[in-house]
Amino acid sequence: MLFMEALLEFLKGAQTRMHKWGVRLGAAVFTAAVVFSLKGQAPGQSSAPQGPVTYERLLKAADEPGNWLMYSHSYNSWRYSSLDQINAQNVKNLHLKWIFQGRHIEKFETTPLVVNGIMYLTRPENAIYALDAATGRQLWSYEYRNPPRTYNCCGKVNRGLAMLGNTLFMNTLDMHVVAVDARSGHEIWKTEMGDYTAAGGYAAPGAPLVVKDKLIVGMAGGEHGVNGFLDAYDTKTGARLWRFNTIPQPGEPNFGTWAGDSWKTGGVTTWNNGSYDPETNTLFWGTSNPWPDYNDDTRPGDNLYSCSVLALDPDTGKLKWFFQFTPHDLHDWDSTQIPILLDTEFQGQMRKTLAWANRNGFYYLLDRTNGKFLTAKAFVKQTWAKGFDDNGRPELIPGNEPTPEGNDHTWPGVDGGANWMSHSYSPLTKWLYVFAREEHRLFSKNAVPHPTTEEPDRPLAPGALPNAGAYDPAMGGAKTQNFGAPEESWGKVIAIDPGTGTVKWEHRVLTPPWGGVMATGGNLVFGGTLEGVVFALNSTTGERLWTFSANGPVFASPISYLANGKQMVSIPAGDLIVTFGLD
Amino acid sequence: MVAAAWVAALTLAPPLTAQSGSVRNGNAAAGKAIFDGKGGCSSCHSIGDRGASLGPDLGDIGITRTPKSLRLALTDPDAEIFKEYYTVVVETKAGETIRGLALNEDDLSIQIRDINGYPRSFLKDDLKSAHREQRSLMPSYASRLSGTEMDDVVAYLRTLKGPPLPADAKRPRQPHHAYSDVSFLNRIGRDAEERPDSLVNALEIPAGATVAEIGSGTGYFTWRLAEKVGLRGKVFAVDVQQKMLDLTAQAVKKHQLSNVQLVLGGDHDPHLPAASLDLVFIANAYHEFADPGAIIAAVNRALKADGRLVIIEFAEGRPFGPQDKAERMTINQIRAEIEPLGFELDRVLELLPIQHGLIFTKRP
Repeated sequence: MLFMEALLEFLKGAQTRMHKWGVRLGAAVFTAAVVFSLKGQAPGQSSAPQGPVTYERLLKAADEPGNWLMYSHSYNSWRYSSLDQINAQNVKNLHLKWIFQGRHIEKFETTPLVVNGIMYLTRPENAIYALDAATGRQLWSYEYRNPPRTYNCCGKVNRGLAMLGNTLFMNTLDMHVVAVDARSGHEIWKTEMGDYTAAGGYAAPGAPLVVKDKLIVGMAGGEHGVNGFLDAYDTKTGARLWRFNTIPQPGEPNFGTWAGDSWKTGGVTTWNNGSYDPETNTLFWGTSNPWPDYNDDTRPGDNLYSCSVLALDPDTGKLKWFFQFTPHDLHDWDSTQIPILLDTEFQGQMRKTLAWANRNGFYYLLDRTNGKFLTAKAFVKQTWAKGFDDNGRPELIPGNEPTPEGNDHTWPGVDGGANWMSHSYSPLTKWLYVFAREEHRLFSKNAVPHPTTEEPDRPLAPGALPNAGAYDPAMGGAKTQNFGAPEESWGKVIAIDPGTGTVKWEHRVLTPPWGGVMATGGNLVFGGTLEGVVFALNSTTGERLWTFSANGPVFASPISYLANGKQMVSIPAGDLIVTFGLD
Repeated sequence: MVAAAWVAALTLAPPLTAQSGSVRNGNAAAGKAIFDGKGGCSSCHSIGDRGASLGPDLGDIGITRTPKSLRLALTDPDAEIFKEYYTVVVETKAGETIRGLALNEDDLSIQIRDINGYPRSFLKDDLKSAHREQRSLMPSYASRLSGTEMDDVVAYLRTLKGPPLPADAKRPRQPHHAYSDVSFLNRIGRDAEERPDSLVNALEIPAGATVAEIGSGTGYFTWRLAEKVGLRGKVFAVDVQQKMLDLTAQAVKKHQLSNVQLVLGGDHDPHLPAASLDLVFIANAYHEFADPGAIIAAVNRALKADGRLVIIEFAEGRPFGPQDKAERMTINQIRAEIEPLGFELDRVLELLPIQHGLIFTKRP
């Protein structure tokens, strides 16, 4: 233990020294940590494998609860930590262990990775920080410099990293992918995905996903007339291995669901993270809205593959099947939620399913082997669909279309019943946890920005209902207050029985959230509200057992890991990362 | 080039009843005395940087509310209340009930400013209930002030038009050339950006009115104005480009209207009849006038004594709208150019998402 204490002392001083001498010394520190970890226990680990993050470790990521090896913790995207040191009995004693200060005007939307006692996280715009996961002390940092003007729709944010071997991968707002050495913070390679200024602007704010030796990377830009895709890159070289066009191009199957030339500018981006089923070798990834968002004059048709889930062969990028949740979307209801792969009983039979609480307000259960629709049930108030046919196609209720001067009676609102924030599945309760949004907003048929409009079109104009929770650095990062009537907008954590879509309990909060949830083996569900109240709920009953007032809006999803053998829970709030432990 | 028949048409318009924007029968000095004294208004409201902070600041209430709306606020404070001023009622488990205004709230606690002006914070665990009522903390003055006193208070409030204009408020740039991009004027989504129907409704133009629109362009507002004034009213559609007048004519024809007179304007003279107009409407055009001073002076001459001038411009500093700063203006820039030409600001319209809408009346 003496060696470890000496190392920790060294780590504590590292930041000051690095300040003086740059990152090289930081690299030396990390090399020391790795050498150390090979010899015995790493600072943050007890029994999990040490050394590089191999694909084999990624496949069994759920078996390493002390680490957080990928965005959703495991390929099935449960965002479930089996750690149970912190549990429903003792969570009342949970307290703040450390804070990492982003010192940035933009909020954190990142999910940190934790590997062998080191936390890797992205800070806006595109910086990477390596921290001691026990103390939050900085080990090194890497900064990717974007051009001053980037074409992100909703803040200069980044949602996190992927890791393979000793390499970290990050997407950038100017449409690059970078590989960075996890030991030093040195850049290994950099690849341009495409011209970030084309067609009104592309960006890549999501976290990438490693599958085998490939890096799967999505892109954003659906507020402009972009042409969407999902890419795979060689993790060693950065060479592009395949590209799947999310709008079928001439000659490809399913071409022709867009009137005229509207497919050329149809949007359909892939801006969040996906999931992977090793058993069937299938990659699942959600797609965004068709463009123009709220004006369909130029794009009659189903607009494939917008608002869909794609099932792809990760080796080739070939489409296995797709399911379109919202054909011909008019409300910006992206289907970019994280796909959750679980096996559940459906009508008396165990099925391999894909569980999906969609932005359009419905919870869907699909057969993940073939994309067959099993059931759907609203999990928030909705006014637009009376039901579904056997194929899962919604039967529309008229009168929900955006109108020139605005339609404010459609539920859910533009930000949906769910959005990009992670849901969580607990094998303990066998329920799915969703931090859902209840609200209606103004839908204006104003989607085609005129040629001289600088900003992308977003329905935030006056007359819209309060944009509760706008991130406002002028307010010290606190949200601007929600003056919406309680019956007009609120948030709720719900537990859904995945086989039926039945809501088992509901925990209501003041404001529609922008944070995700994480279930744990301690019978807890963690999350944070837009006002910055970090909470733990009893995952069986929904009872709130613990809170912490971070007073910065939570725009991210929690993680849990071990540092020095002790369970920690970490969540971004505003421009801070707050981390909690028991003692 | 200006048709001669318009004078005859004008005489058909009947006398107009008083509009909401033209009630001016109170005594502002007496109103101020009531505001500071008997009414007790200043114990809750500030004016600019002076006064109490419980109620909304009234520093520019004279241009953001009509006299009708101000009077309504005095007699029925709940009628048009903003959500920020709903009454928050907090009931503690100890049995205390506190009323106030919302300051902040999360899932654990709520912060209010109580009726004495003090900020207070409560843990929700300590409360029996906390809810918001769609009512104002302000008392009704219906039985506290006489009708005349209320008129006086309204007259005083109407004098509150924000801080004086800074000396450098005028546009530093030269007027722009006449706009000719028809595709921009016909852009999809223009209705949502400019809310033309709500705008024209908000002007409360009575049927039978005589209106001129300067810079009629594609007739986007022209036909709406013409529908509003009705068969007994009349709209002069002025543009300096014959191409635009042709487009205006098409729009008028499409809506089967016969009460629009096309007028080819000059750079220095809109060619309008003297002292005959109830309203002059200029949308997205003022910034490009070659000789704005001469045009606005001519507008002043063309308006009746109680006539109104409406200027709509893309707002400087908002994230939407034309990128070219020469096509945007601030409220102060508009005021600094219009007011010295015999006008005073009557009201600022608050319904436009990306534009400023200013209504001026003639200075007596």
